[in-house]
Amino acid sequence: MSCELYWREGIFRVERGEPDPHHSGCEDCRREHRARAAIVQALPLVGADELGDPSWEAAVWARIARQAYARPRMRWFWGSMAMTASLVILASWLVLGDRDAGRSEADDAPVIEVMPGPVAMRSLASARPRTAAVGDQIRITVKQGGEIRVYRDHALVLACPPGTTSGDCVSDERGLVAVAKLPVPGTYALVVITPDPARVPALGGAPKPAGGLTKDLTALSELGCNYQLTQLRVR
Amino acid sequence: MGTSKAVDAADVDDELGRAFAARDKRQVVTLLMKQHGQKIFRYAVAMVSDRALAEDIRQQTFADAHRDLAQVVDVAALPRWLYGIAHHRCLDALASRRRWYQRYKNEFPADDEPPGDRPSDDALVALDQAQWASLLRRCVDQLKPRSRAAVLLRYGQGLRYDDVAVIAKERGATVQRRVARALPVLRRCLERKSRGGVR
Repeated sequence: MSCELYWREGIFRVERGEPDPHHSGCEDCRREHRARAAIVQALPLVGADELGDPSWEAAVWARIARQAYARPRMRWFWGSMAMTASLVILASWLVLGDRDAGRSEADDAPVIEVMPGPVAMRSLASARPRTAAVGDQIRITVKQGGEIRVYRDHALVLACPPGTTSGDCVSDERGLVAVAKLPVPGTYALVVITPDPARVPALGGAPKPAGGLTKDLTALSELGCNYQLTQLRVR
Repeated sequence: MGTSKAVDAADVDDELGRAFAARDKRQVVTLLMKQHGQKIFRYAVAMVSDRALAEDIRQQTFADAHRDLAQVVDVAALPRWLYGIAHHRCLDALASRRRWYQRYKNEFPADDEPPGDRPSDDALVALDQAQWASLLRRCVDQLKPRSRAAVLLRYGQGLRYDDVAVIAKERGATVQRRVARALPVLRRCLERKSRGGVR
C-alpha cells in the first residue's frame, strides 16, 4: 500500500515548498514522491507533439484586419442606433410632453385670477396669485364637474357646487366660474374639488360643506376626494 | 519540485521593450507571437484537447492582445497578461463545449476521476516518455477545467505559483491546493490506465 500521509498532507507541503518531516523516514513516502516527480516532469510533454497551423501568424493578422474593419462598422451601427433613439425620444417629448402640458394647463388645473378693484394697481399676471388687496375680486375657473369653495379665515363665504348657476357662480358646458369679492382683509382659502366620481360612488360627489375649512377638508380627505387648496392673503 | 520561472523579466527582451516603449503594436504582437505562440498553443491543446479549437484560441489570443495592448502599462507584465487572455479563452471554450454537450447530446464530458484505490507499485515510473505523455494527456482531460489549468500552467508551462495565481485570477494558496489535489487524481488515473495498457 502506498503512503496515505503523503497524498493527504505531504503533497500540500511539497507544493508550498515546505519540508515534509514524514518524508525522510518512510520508504513508501519517498516512492510516492518519486511518482509525483515523474508526473511533474512529464506534464510539459502534454501537447508538445501537437503542431498548429504553420501559417497561424498570418491568420492572426487577417483576424486583426477583420476586427479593425468590423469595429468602425459596429461603431457606425451603434452610433446610428443611439442617434435614432435620441430622435425618437425627442420627438415623443415634443409631441406628448407638449400635449400633456397644454392639457394640464388648459383642461385640468383650475385658473385663479385676481381682478383688481378700482383702487388697486397691481399686476394680474401671476398664474397662482398669493396676495390681493381689499376691494379686489377673485375669479376661479374649473372644468366641468368641478366644485369651488372660498373660505375667509376658515369660514365658508362662497360655495359653487358642480353645475350651479346662481349669484356668483356661473356654469356652462365648458366648466364652472366663480367670482368672489374680497371686501375685508384676511386669509382666504380657495378650495377647488376636482371631479372623481369613481372614488366616491356612493355619494356621487364631494360631501356638502359644513362651514369650517378644517372640518370640510378632513371630510374631503376621508372620502378620498381630490382637491386643491390655494391660500390668498388680502391686505 | 519542477523547474519554475518568472514569465515576466526573463522573457522580455530588449527588442520587445523598445517596441513597447515606442507603442509599436504590430511589432510588439509579432515579437509576442514569436516568443509565446508555441507555448500558448501547447497550453490550449492540453486544456481543450482539440487541435483546431486550440489553434483558434491561439489566434484569438493574439488578436485580442493586439486590440487591448493599450491596457498594459508595464512591459514586464505582457507575457502574464497574454497567458491570462489564453487561459480565459480556454475556459470560455470549455464552458461553451460543455453547454453544447448538455443541449445536443444530453450528456457532458466527465470531469474528475472517480475516487478509487491508491496506486501501489512502481510501474508508472518505468513507463517511457511517449507513454507518459499519451497517458497523462488523457488523465489531464479528466480534471476540472480550473484544476487542469492550474496544473498545466504550473508544471506544463513551468510558471511560478504567484504568476499562475495572477493569470487565473485566484489566490496563490487556492492554486496550490488545486494542484495538490489534482496530482493524486492524475496518479490514480495513470495507475489505472497503465494497468489497461497504453492505447
